[in-house]
Amino acid sequence: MLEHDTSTASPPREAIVRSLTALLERMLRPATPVTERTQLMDELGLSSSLALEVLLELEDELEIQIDVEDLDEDRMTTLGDLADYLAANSTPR
Amino acid sequence: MQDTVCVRVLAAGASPAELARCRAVLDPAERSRAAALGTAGLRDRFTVAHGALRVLAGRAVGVPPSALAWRPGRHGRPALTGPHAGLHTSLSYSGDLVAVALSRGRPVGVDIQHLPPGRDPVSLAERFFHPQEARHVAAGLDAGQRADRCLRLWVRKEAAVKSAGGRLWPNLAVPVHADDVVACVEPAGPHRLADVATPSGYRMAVALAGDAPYAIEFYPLTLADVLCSDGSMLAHTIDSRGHRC
Repeated sequence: MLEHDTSTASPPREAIVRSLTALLERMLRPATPVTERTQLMDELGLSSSLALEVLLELEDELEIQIDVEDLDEDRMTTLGDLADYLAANSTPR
Repeated sequence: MQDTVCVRVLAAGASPAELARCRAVLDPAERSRAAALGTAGLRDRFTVAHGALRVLAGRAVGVPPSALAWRPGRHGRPALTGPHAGLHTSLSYSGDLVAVALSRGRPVGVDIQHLPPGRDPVSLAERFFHPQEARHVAAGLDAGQRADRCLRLWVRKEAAVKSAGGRLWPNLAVPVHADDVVACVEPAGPHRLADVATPSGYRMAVALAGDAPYAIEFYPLTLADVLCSDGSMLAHTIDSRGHRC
C-alpha cells in the first residue's frame, strides 16, 4: 500500500471547518452557532481585516501557508465556501 | 479646477426614531441584508450606514434617498446607476463610526477601521504587506504604535482597492506607506491616497482614481444632522461650519 504523501497535501477540509468555526465563534461571538452554511459577511459581519486575522490564525493553528492570490469575496460567502477554497489553496509549512 | 471629495463621518449609534428613518429609505435588498446580520448591533450599524449614504448621496444629486439605485461591480464595488452615475460613492464602517465619501467624476474609495485589540500586527504585516512596510510596522516603539502603523497601512490599501474596484488580496502587497500616488496591480492604474483625521483608536483613508491632486471636504456629522428634514445642515456644511438645523 502506498503511503499518503503529507508533504504537499492540504489539511483535510473537516479540520479546516473545525478550526474556522472555533476561530469565528471566539473572535466574533455570534448570537447563534456558526455552521458551514453561516454567511461570513452577511450574517457575521466579517470584514476584510478580520478575515485576514482569521487566515493568519488558521495558518498558525494548522501549520499551513494559504495562497490568498485567488481569494475573492465570492469565494468566502459561507464558511463552507471558504473551507473549500482553503482546502484547495493551502500547503503545509 | 481641482477635484473635490466630500468625506463625512458619523457615529453609528442611533435612537429608535432615527433607525426607523434610516430603515425607511433603504431598498428591499438592503433591508433583507440588514435583517440577515446576526446581532442587533450589526443590524443597526448597517441600517445607519446605508441610510446615511442614501440621504447624503440623494442630497448631492437632488433626489429622494430612496430613488437611488446601486449596481454591484465585478468585485463588489457598488456604482450608482441611471442619471446619477456621475456621482461616485464609497461607504465604510467599523467599530462605532460610519464614513461616507462622495466624488463627482472620479471613482472613490474610503476606509475607516477601529484599532482591534488582539494580536501584535507585526506578523500580519510580515505575511501580507510589502517588506518595507513590514519593517516600518515592526519598528514601532511599542505595541500601540505598531498596531497604529499597521492600521494606517491597512486603510490606505483598502481605500485604494475600493477606488480601483479591484480585489483586495492581489493588491495587499502594493506599497502605500511612503507615496500618496499608488499603483494598484489589479486592475492596474494609479490612485491618489490621503489620510483623514479620526478620533483616537481609528484610522481612515480616502482615495480617488487617477494621480491628480484633489481637495478634501471633511466634516464630522451626527446622524441627526444627516437626517435634518430640510437638508439645510448639509447644504451649509459646505459653506459654513457653524450652521445647525
